[in-house]
Amino acid sequence: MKVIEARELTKVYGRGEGRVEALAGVSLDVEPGEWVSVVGPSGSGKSTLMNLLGLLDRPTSGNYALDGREVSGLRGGDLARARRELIGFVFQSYNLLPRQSARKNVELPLVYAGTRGAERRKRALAALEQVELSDRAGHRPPELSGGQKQRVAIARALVSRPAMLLADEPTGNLDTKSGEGILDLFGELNATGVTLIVVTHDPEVARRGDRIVDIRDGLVFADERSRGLEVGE
Amino acid sequence: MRRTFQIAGMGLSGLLVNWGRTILTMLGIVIGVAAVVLLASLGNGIQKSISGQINDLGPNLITISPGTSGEQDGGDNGPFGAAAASTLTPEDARLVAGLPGVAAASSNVSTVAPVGQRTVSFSGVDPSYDEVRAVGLTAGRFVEGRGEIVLSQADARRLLDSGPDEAVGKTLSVGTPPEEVPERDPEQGSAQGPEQLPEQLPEGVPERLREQVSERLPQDAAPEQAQEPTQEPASEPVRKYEVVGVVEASEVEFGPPVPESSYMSTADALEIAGVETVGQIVVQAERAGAVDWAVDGIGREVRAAHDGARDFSVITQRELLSTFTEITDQLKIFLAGIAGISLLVGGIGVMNIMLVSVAERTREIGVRKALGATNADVLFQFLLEAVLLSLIGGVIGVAVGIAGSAVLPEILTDLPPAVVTANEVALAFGVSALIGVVFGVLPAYRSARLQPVEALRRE
Repeated sequence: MKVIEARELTKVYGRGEGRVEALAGVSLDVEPGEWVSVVGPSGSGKSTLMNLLGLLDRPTSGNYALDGREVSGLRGGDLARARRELIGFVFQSYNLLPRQSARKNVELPLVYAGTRGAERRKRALAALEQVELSDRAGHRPPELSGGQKQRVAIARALVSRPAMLLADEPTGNLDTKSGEGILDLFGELNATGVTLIVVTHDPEVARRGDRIVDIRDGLVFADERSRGLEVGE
Repeated sequence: MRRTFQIAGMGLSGLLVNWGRTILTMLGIVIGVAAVVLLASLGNGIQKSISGQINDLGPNLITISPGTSGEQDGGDNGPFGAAAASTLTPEDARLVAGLPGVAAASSNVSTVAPVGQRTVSFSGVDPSYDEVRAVGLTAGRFVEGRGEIVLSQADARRLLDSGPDEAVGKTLSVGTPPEEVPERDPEQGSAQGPEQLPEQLPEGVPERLREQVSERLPQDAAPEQAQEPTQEPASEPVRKYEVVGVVEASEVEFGPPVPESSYMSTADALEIAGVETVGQIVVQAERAGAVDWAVDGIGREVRAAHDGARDFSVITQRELLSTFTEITDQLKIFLAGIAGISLLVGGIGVMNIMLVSVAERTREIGVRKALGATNADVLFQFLLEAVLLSLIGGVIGVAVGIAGSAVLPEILTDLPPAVVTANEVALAFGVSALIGVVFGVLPAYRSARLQPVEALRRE
């Protein structure tokens, strides 16, 4: 069973004169355990694709099955449920709650899943362990470096054991060294079977994935195995 | 259910963690609620105090004053009817005392008399005055005849330099030789008598205003204030008076302390004042139900005794009370207006902070939705926060308002004790809570309905 099975996804903003077709019909399959990089120049529609794949926005048309479940027609509570059960988000600007500790931030998805406090704490600490930040569990985001913040965000994405991790320019706000650290962490997670979709405009970052999907003008321009993979294996 | 519980717990910890925002939001509610409770309580206190003071006169009290009131006369006395000199006599008092429905009646004539080097104001009254007004003595008995006086505590201290018990039985010389005519006691300002008031109005005052003034006069001639003009007290010979009692110190509820009166017999006071008419006659009806009956009898009989002239007015305590209630009701409306504005300002403050708070949390809402929160989850959290803030703020506001109501009259001693009532507290609490919840939830509702990608885009 595929993690992602998207058929002819389109997204149109506005009407009439101001009508913009951000996605003109994108089909994409992702197998479990794959690391897919989505690249493309700004305005190509890659962010729109990422929002659709992450269920943050609804497609204008097309079908989308996530982890074997058709999700393109979901609304309201069902959509929120699919989001928290199937997808872990990693944002460029981390999007942590600044006044809550790292552990509380990681617990957040579990709160919405209704997990009890003790269990929540245990799983949050385990997720922080996975990103090697156990010693920072009580720190609040302003007390952490950019790389550490992004690790907290990754722990938060992992904690609900989603079908895939969806990362939007995860190294965009980081220096090269911290960025490398995050990509290494992605590598480790991917090695344990975590499916990764990484949206980036940075070829260096893209090359770390198994596959590079190049989006141009709202369409898949190229979809090929990454050379990085050949080097790595 | 468990999810709801977890989300509630998270919302609560959010309030604690963001204590700065929490306090700021609550402050508006606290101020609004406290202002309403305080002002409403002060208004209640003033009304209660005034009606209490009037009720202290006794519900069955009837006052007969010289002159006519605009409401009662036939208009034959003209606008200056009230200016006529007093026509009430001690005989009228005796006549009234014998009327059906009347329990007791007493003349009341005010005078000032020199006692040694000092000037003392006396109320000349009949022995039955104590029945009518329940004077309340701390020592001795009330005046029962000529040559007897009852002193106020202040006068006992001033004249005899003694406490109430020691003063009883002492003898005082009242009245001085003509060359030592004392100045009028400034507290006896109303000794000028109501009949002079219209003449004090400056030239050119419209006739209508003069009429209004004269219509108000019978009310001005309220029991304690109606005074007989004092005339030539110095011409009286010095006489010995025995102090037979001392008046209990009254508890002044608010306002400047009212000087307690000292008492002597009507006959002595008339003699010292050199007049034959009394300032007013105070009457105690047998019971509340007999007041109207007594008033009818008084009107008929006294008029007959005055050869058919309606040259006096009869005011019941109830009429007096309703006059004052009208005034205090207006005061309360005024205070309620101020309180309403406070609540409005407080409400706008709450609204503003809630709007800002939600606006700057739009991104947070986006994050929460991306992490799996439903619209309902987000709304629930904001509703919970708004309700809690409003409740806690409301409780603190009520506490501050009640504390203020207790403290303010202590600081501003002219204010009567405030009376906190459940109605105003509930109203203030309810309105601010409503504002808090509505303006906490409405913008949150708008934000919660955004697609997460929209909400995440906001900075």
